[in-house]
Amino acid sequence: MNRRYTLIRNVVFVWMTLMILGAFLLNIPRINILEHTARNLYFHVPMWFTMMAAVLVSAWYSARHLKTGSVESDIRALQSARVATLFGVLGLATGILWSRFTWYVGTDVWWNFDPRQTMAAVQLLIYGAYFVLRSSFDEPVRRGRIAAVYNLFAMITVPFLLYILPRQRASLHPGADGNPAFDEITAPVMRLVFYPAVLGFIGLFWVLYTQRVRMAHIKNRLTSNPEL
Amino acid sequence: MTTPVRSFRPPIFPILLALLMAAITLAPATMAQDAPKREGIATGFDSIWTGANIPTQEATGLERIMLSDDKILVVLGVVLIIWFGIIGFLLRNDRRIGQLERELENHRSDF
Amino acid sequence: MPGFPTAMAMWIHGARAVLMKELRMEWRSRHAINLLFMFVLSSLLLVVFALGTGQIEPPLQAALLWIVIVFSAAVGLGRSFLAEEEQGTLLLLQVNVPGSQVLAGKLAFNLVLIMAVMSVTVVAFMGLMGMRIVHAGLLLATLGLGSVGLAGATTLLGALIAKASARGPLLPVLLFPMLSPLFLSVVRATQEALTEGATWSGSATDLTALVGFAGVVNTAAFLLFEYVWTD
Repeated sequence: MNRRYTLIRNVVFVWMTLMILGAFLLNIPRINILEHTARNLYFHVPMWFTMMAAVLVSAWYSARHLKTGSVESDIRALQSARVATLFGVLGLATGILWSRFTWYVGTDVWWNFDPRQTMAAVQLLIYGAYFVLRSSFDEPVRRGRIAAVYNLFAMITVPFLLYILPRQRASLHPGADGNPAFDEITAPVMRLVFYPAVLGFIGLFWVLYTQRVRMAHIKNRLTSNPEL
Repeated sequence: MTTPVRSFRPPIFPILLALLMAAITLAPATMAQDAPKREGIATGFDSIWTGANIPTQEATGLERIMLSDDKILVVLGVVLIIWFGIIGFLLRNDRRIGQLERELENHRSDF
Repeated sequence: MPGFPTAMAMWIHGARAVLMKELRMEWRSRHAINLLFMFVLSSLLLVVFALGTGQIEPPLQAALLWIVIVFSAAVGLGRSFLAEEEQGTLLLLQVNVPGSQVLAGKLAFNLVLIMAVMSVTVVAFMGLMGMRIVHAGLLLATLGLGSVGLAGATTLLGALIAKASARGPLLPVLLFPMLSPLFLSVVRATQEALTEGATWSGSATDLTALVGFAGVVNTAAFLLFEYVWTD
């Protein structure tokens, strides 16, 4: 067992525990409509930051795999995409719950095609297609290459949604037009928990991702097929 | 020579989900006691949130539970979703590790 | 060492050779064009049956028009690389023509097919569903830009799935998620072109999005194609 991994893992676990304690115990200013759900800032928003980080890691290793052809990079791209999917699904689910009982009370609206929601859903669909594409190859070398090409090719179209979607629908998220920016609505005491929460969840991503990469290595050495 | 002994594995995820469902069904008895609604500090930017139509209907059912105690249960729900997601991920990891162990056994018995 | 103009001419020559070969093959069998034509007609028939004979509003017309176009692209355009793989002509092509020229030729061929599909669909919509074009220039620009983006995406993805060992209907699964930005802006621009008082400035943002999408997708296709081609 790698010592650096163990160290970071333990730090992440203690850090997250402190973060959760702070998230529930620190007093925050009351805001109408939001009330206690403002605390979801510490849980829902880091899901997106973590997903973005994981998507970038996946794209980076896909590009590296195309450059070098190393199995290692392919494993890392795939496992990072897997963990990105986990955090994306969690972000969608937590966002649905939060908005349903905060802004959509009395409306029976669960899903509203909010621009960021739609973007995340599209990224998840792309990863779904990426996993389907991987499963339709028998030969590991070819699979790695083609999957890396698709990962990069499909990913570059997602930023266009940033430009197009806000013109289609209003957003609940801060920073969208008409809404106050993040800085204006976030009390200093909340930032004290929010930034550590982002770091902590990204650390948690790193732990989960490293576990999967290690497992894929073992699988690769046993069967010379890294597909987990 | 090893015969794969599949030990009984309790279906953890369904059990956890069942517990959650039970908690939700039992919750009205304990929690939805119509706590008097306190007014929060009305701040200027409340009304700017687009789509934030202030509810005109009476909250019913699940909403009544979720909105009690200044919506702290929504936060609980969000934390539970994340926790369940991570549990689910770890359980899948566990199953894969089990597969790897069995494959390792097969390799050993080849020699 | 040939100078730049000569190299450019050689590149265009190679790409055109691939395009001509595709067109000639298509002319002999007329497989793809018949398939696409039948697909457009039958899906249109279903739409007409499903919606009845009432007047359909422009937003719905625009959405249906693009659904028919995108689905027929997903059904009919994945064939070109698959056919090479199946007929065993892939190696010959690999030896004789550099990758980027092959991609350019196939891309041009797919562009021709998509434009044929689009013209059939638009004419059929005008005849069968009473679609009225208010701003023809805007509609043409939208169709043109949309077809370039669509051709770039389908051609590279077609090359990807030709390498897969279990094929099945992979192309729609891969294509639709990455097409969502194109679809959104193209439908909005078409809506604009079908409603009274349409102006160029009304769809300026959508058209710029389409130009950007077509440019980025095609650039990426050329950059990434080498990795698919040299297997």
